[in-house]
Amino acid sequence: MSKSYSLLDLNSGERATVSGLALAASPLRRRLLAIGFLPGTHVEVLRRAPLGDPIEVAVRGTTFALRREEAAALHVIRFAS
Amino acid sequence: MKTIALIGNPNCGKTTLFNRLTGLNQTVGNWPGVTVERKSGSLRLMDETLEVIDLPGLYSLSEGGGADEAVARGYLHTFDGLIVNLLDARQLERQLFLTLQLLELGHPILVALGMTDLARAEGMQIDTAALGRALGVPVVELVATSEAGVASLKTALLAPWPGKPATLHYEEPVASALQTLREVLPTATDDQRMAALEGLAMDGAMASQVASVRQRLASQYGDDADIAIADARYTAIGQLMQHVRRSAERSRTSRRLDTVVLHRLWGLPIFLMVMYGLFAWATHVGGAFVDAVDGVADALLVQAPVRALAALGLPDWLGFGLGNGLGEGIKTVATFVPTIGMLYLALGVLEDCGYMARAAFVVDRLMRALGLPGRAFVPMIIGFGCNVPAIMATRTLEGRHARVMAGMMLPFVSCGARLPVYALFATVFFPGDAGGVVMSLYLAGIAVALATGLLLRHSVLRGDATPAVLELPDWHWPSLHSVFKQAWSRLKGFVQGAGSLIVPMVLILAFLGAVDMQGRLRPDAPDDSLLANGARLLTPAFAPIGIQRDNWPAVVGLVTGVLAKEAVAGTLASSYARLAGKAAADETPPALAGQIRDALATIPAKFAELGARLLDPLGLKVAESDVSDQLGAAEGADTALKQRFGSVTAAYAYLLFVLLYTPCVAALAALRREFGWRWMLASAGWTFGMAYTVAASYHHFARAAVPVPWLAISATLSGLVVFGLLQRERNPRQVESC
Repeated sequence: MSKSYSLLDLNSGERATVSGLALAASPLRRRLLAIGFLPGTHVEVLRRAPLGDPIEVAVRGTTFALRREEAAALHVIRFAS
Repeated sequence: MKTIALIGNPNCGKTTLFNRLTGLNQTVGNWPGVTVERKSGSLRLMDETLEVIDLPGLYSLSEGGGADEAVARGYLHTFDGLIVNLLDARQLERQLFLTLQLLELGHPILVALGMTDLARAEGMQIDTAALGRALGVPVVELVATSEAGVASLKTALLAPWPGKPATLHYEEPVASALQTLREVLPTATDDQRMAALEGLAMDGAMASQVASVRQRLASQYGDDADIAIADARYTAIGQLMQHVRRSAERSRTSRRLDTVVLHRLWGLPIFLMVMYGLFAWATHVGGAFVDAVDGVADALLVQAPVRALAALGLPDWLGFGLGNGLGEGIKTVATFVPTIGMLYLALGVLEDCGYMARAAFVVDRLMRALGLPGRAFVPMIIGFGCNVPAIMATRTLEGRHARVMAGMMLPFVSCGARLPVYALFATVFFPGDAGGVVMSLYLAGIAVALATGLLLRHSVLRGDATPAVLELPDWHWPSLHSVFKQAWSRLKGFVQGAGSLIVPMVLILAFLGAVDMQGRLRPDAPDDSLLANGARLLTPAFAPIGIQRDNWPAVVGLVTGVLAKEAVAGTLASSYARLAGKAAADETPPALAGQIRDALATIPAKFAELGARLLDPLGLKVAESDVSDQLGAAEGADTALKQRFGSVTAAYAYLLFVLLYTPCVAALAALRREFGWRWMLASAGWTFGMAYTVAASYHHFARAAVPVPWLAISATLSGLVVFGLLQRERNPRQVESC
């Protein structure tokens, strides 16, 4: 319906819902699924590291650091502000 | 013996629980064929002893690619004991994912719910009994950091162990896909069937049938099969979570602390301060005990046996072998204990409180230029103190590629033991410019380390299967009990693992350095020893780096440096003094009691110097004053040194060589322990080759060049590295744009 965003496009403090994973079968994809980055999951970008990369993301009560490519592979739908 | 296997997510408190259960009855080794740490211990329960195996921390059993996961999976498939799955109650939802996979394995399992006190404090309410009924396995609440919490687990372990858990029920369409696979793969376990559905590599006759089941699942679900499965598992978890009421948010203190520690501006300075603190703690506080250990060990293990055996009238070689060989070897190992022990303690505290993950977050961008994870910064910093604990600290890195790469780079990081050589040469050849010379050497070492990393990254160690996703756990007070036990068992691992190589090598080198060409034992005439004669023979080979034929003591210094880098300066000072015809004053060693007393007196003295040392991070002033003491004792050494080297260029080339060449036996032993013989030999060869190439090219090009030519070489090297970094940086952008 609207433009597709990745986790990378979110500002610090912004919340969104995961809509898909743009990743082929790989250990990274399996790990992201295992820690709960599924379509429909709510995520929040907490902050970026001092050098701009990685970014800190909260999902299911835990926070993870994701590097740029990893964050770029997670497609999200932004919450209407 | 009955066995329990401890498994859980990273950061779930598993290590603390393991330490509580097993106390000091632990052994740390490696799993066969991999460098994943294998920890096992024993637990006394009434009149029974259980073996406890600590499996690597994992988010799931199906990550694929990582050595940790392969180890856990391989082990669990043949396991016939009880699986104890530890969960952090605060992150129950996410951590139950692994629990479901463990249930699919079909082994008896007990769920231990840790951190329940903290979860309650954050407003979570867990109906443990109902959760246990829903899972179909016993659930025990425990506070891993307290003795009382562990007692409840011990009670549960004393009760009859649970049987195989009931089969799990997932929602459609996963349930029917799994049911079909039960018929297709009758001998497999459910966890293997689920892995096959997820698309993990399958072989055998059924591969095509499995693939069609997977495709049907994907089309029924409307997305990829692995997402369908993860979704089904999280749906099942959602039902389990009905027994949990929560308002779980990251605790407010933790969030507030993060806004400071991970701040865009303060983040890096705080990181640097913590790293400097770690470095200072290990090298200065830990280092304050080194001289004492050295002196006491020398008195008891080297002097005492030599004298005792001489008094008994036993042959000299026996006393020499026992004291100067074996005793000296054990002493070498012992002198590493204070630094490494202090380091493990500090690392344990930083790991346990949650800072280490944050440090990795802050510097990840810098380290990734090399293809290393953020936490690879820690061993690099420690390397400036001593390479040996730094190599051991590569264990904290995830993924073998990252560990090996860091291990291969570390020997070029100039450790504290190389400093006295720099100081000696600086005093003689570069008076007034010591700081600049030493700084240039440190930079050259870093440049060669970075170049090595880049080279490996683009050749043998290309790509790494381990994802970089890193968890930032909540801050919490470190459990000192656990930190101490972990440091202790790791230290024990070092002493046993590295010691078994260091001691024999020291023994062999000691004899080579004391036996003359006629095969007589003459420790008092080191210049006639096999070692010195061998060095003389080798000297022409070092002509390209500027060591002339008559400058053979320089080569002797290099050979002893393989034994221990701190031996180079002393060897050089005394052999050049003998060349000058003035033997260093032959001092009779004092009586044992006096020696021990003197050794112990160094501890308060070192602590008194601590303030000054903290302001002199490189320790250059201390090293300089030590060197002038040595030169004072070995009169004429400075003139001989100047004469034999002949030029400032040759002296600097020699320093470059000392900086870069083969690591000491202790570092080699650590490399072998962490990465195996092959990588140890590769490192020994590569460092020697780099040292020779860099020193020879410097010597060749600098002879014609301007004064302070060392600036040129470090500039060139750094230029190369910056170029390499820029090249690396282009890659991710390319990925992004497509």
